[in-house]
Amino acid sequence: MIYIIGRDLYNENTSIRIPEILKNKQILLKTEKGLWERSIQMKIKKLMLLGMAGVLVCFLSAGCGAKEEDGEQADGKTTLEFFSNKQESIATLEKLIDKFNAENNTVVVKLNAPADPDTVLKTRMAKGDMPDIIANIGASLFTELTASGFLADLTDTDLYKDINEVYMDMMYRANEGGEEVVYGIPYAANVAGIIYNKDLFEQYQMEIPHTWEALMEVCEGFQENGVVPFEMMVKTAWTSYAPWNALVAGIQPEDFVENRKAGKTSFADTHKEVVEKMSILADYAQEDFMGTSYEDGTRNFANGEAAMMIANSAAIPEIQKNNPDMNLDVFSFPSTEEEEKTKVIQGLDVILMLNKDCEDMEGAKEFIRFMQEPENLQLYIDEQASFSCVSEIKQSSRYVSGIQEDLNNDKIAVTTDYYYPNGLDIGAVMSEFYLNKTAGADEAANVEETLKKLDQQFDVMNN
Amino acid sequence: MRKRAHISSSYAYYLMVIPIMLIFIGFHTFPFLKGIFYSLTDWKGYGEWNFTGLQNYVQLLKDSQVGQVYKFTLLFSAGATVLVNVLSLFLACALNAKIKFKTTLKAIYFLPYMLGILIIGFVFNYIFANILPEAGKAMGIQALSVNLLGTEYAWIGLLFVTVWQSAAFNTMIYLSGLQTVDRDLYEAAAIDGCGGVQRFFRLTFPLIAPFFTINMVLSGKNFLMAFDQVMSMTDGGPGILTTTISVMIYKRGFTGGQFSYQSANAVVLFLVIAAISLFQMKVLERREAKYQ
Repeated sequence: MIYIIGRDLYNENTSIRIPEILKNKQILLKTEKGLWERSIQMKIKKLMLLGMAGVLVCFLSAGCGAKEEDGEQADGKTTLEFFSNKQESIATLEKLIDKFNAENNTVVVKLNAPADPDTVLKTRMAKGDMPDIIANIGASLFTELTASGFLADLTDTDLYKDINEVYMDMMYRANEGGEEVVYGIPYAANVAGIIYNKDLFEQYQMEIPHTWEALMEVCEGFQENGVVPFEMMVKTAWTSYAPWNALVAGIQPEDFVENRKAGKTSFADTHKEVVEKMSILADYAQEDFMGTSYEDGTRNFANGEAAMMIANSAAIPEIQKNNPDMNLDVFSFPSTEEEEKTKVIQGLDVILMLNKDCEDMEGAKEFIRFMQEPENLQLYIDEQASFSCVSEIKQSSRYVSGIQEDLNNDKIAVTTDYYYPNGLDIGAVMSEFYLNKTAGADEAANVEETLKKLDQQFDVMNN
Repeated sequence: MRKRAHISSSYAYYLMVIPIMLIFIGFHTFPFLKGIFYSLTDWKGYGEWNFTGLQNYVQLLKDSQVGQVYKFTLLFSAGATVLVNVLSLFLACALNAKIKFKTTLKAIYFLPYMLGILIIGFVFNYIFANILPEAGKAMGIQALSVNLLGTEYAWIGLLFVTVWQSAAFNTMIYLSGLQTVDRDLYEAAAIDGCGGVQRFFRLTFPLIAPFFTINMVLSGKNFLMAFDQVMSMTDGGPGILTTTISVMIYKRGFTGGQFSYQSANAVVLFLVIAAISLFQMKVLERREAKYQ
């Protein structure tokens, strides 16, 4: 505003009124100043001190305020914070927690499941203010947690005696350095495979494929009949590379991630087939697979717009939201010509961890035991369409009956990307690959470029 | 005597400034300095750390993704700054004219600014994913029949929404600038035979030059830090095509476990913004001076 006044003063012939008023004001101010200034000076000083003290008090009380919530409650019970990374399981967990709190009279468990949980947990790690009980997936954040020194070592407890060895091994692999220390208790696992529309398969008399070639025939068959074979969702980061884990599980050499970390192998040498097959799958996807998000894709699939969808079991409740009566099932993704390599892809969806400085370690362990009680575990996996890590507790939903046989025969492969370094963004790399593909880039060059990028990023992120 | 009087009269001003300054230092300057400090370490956001000197900055120069992201951000902010200012200057002039329903129109044009950009992002996400492709198919336009945000032209969608939202605020600033222009001047110009276009470039534009400066600097800075619209509309994709520097810092700094590395990135972003803003001020203020 100073500019304007300044200019108006200068252009006196254009606006005469403003400067005159201003001059009068200045005169007024000058005379007034001398009169009230000295008498009020002292008051101002006092006010300033008061103001600054006030600000300080605000700062301090804001700092302390956060602490008061922890610890002892009025009735002598200890409050334990349960930090969950899943928004979609809040209702189920709250049911279980209410039951636990009603039964137990020494601790009160409080659920905290914020949006963007990984970021929240990381900031809390930075502050050293860790929750008492933590639930997270067995991926790179878990690896970081095991290396952070915040977790209690549960190796000498009986908390994992009922857990299937397969899942214990899956978790050990995610430990920093792969050592066999129990930093968490595997609780639930997800499965990934191909979710398919049973009605469409019956209508066009398609068989469930067990090899890659058979899968291609099914795709051809659907396409000839004008049915879109695959619904792909590249716009959402985590669904953009859905087939990746299934393809990698069948194709990559054994111990690839460990060897890659040691610099003994590379994506360029071993993953060409994976990227090429990713590309073929996109040829059988709906036209706008680049612009389809997870929400749109599950809705389209629920409306019968495509025959198959490569996804995690978590997508099933999402599909049913749009079409509760949909006739669907899941089969294992056939990534190669060898049928025995066609496996269910599983990852640890929930691992329960304890803070080593937890205020009431016994109470926290009691909570984990409670969660593992058959009745409660069954409730969790039923409501979450998830799979238990205890062999005796089975997922009975008819929607996943197609993979039950593979699960019973332990034809299980791990979710490979859980073991990649945190931040290696397969989703971004693959969506760039698809973008170039749709823009008409040369296929061979595009594949090569993508493999190079994977190697580069693996190294950057590994540092 | 005059000097002493001047100093003591500013007590009241100190009283107003100091508490704010303390808060500002506590919540802004101090964390910023801490960020600079961490950019010289290998801190992951928790646990132990070592001094690594300028290692992170060297890595930044080598990282091809960082280069790509900076390029996109600079082009995006340049495009958005120019478009927003042209559009809002145009709108402001139109709204300042003697037209009917002026107040209603002003309110309508200000509406986008009242809505949170996240909400706008989600609304436009729906439009781009569902309504626009339908329209494209109906009209037989191939390019519009798919979700624009999933193509290599995703930046156009992003730019459109950003301009649409930001123009509202800049229009308001220009409008208030136009109110300061004396209407007598236009009469004088009309008598001298000055036409519409000439009147704008010779009279209106020079007179609201300070507003132009502040709008250019503010929007330039805002768009260099573009974040919300990207997160809600494209999440930086496809690939990293629409990832801005802020989005990269957030995604890779927090969830990607590169806290100190992205702190270095943030410091560089600060330097870039400071340099560009200073440059804009210098050039534009010289231009202002020319007209005075």
